[in-house]
Amino acid sequence: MSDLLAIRNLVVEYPVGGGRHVHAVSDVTLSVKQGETLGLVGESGSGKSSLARALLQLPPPKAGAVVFDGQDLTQMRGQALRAMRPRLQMIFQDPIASLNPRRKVAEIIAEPLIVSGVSDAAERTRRVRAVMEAVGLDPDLVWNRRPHEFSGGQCQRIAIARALVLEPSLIVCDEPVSALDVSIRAQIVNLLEDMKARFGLTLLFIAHDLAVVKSVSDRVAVMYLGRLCEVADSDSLFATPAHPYTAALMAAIPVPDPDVPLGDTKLKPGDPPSPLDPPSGCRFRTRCPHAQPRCTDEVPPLRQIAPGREVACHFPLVG
Amino acid sequence: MNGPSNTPLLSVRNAQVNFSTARGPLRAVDGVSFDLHAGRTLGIVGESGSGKSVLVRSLIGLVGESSGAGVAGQVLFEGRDLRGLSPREFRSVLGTEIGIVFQDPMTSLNPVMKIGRQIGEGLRLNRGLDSKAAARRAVELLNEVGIPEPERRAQQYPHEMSGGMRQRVAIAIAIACAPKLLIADEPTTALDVTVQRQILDLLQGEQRQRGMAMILITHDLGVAAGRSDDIMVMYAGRAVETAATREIFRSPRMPYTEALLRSLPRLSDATHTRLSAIPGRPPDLARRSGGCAFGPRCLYRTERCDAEQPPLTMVGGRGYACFHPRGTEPGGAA
Repeated sequence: MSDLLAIRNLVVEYPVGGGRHVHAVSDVTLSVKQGETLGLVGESGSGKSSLARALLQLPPPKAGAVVFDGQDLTQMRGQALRAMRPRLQMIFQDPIASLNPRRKVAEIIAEPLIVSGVSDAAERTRRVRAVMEAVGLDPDLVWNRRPHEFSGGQCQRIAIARALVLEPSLIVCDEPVSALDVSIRAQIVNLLEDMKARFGLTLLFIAHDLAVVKSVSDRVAVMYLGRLCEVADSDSLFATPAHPYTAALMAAIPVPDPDVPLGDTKLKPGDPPSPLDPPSGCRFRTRCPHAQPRCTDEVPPLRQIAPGREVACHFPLVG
Repeated sequence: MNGPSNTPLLSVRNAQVNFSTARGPLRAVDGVSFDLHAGRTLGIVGESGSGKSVLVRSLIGLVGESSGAGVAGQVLFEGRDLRGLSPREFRSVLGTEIGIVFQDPMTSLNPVMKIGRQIGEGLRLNRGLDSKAAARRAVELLNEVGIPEPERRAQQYPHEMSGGMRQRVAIAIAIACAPKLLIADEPTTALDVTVQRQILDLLQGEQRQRGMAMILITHDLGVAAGRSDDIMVMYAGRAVETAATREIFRSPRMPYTEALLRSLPRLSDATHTRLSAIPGRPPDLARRSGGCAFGPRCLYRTERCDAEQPPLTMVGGRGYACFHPRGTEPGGAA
């Protein structure tokens, strides 16, 4: 499979005054293959949402390339970039906040069509109806209603319909089920899987819930404090994590089975450092049980340890 | 384990909480009863709107007349009826015998008071310590909850700390007066998973060491599974299932509990395994029907479920509110 999206040496920094910067994403290189779901996992401050926004040029990154279907989005401006936009869409964590409360559902879903120049009203109506039906909303019931009349799960269906209406190639899903109730999450996960199959989508699926990520992702990338720790296919990553941070994350997950003993994260005590002032060398070293002097001095590069497996660690747990 | 013959530390009977809303009266908590014995942890599990937080807040007076809620039912703490106490007596019980940890430490801590002083406040007011002794004890407590350099940290304000550290401070405040009951309302929901793990370890460690009872309110079945002795599942304001934690997970009786457990993605499942989703969504509490609130989403619903509300039935030490409990039929999966 070829790469639909290739992120090269991406850097995202935010100024916070006093000449200081949040190092949100530092030198990340990552690709998403045509037709796959790439899961992106990390805790708050890991840079996963900054990465997602930067690849959509919202705003453009400080450095690096975002090559989408052969074209570098960071080099495109104005009309050329707008022409690419319909092919990349995004779904956000908070579905209620991401929908305009004053607009009717049909208007919300039709808006991307208007922006991208579909001027025929009958054509727009046809496409909005079709996409509503695809995501499980009854057009006749929801057409003239407004977002506040819907639950979080229904609002996420509306947001998914809005993302799908332009028939994009890639959808970036930023924590799409985290704000939903437990009994609703599975519905939305299944819907995303169905839509992916039906419309031939490629997904970048960002989440902190590892079980959800494993459920939908062909490959998974793990981020910590702005850098990639590990990229691997789902099964190998969860069976044998190579980066000590991935291992800690997996051990920390609360498993809904009282017969499964609590795992040992082996983390050194203390909180994650601030992305304002990340540690030198390996950014995980201050919490890593295996840290050596070399980890302070040298940034571990992301390197291949097996076919399809990359890890950024001087002392990986496998390979 | 304390046998049922002992007097429970906390005994709640037929708790109700009603709000009046623009769309009419809303019964957020509808007749919930439970007992909690000394040293035990009760996990209260439910989704948003299930009433789990409102229930517990009503027990300790945080939801009541002053917040426009109608509260009914009996709350016995060590045999004393909390709702019969004068406000002064009630505050004294809350300050010394019941500690509370909320979801968001940024909103529960005072932003303009140094944390050492916040921790010492209860000790001064309720335990009669002078400022010096309270300050000394605050530093000890910071050390106990795993905060490095406690002397220096005691002089800081909440905004100078990370979310995980602030939650440790909130725990230090909650346990300062050595309460018999600790209420933790979604204590780790705002935290990252590795920090969540540390905070849950800390809560459990303190609870065991001090022999406190704990009510752990959570929407996360994983958190409840690892940290509670017993679980009460709430749905639409009612307790729908109550049992020992292992029983709940091994053989849920209530179809809602069963469906919830089945809908969870598992790390042991292969990628792209289809999740078994629960259809529909939780009911609108302002428009209650006469029957079982989970009925419209239930696989086993019958006419009786629409007509009558199933009461919480206690059988063999566990309870369920269902006319068609799972795992009980002859030859069934019990």
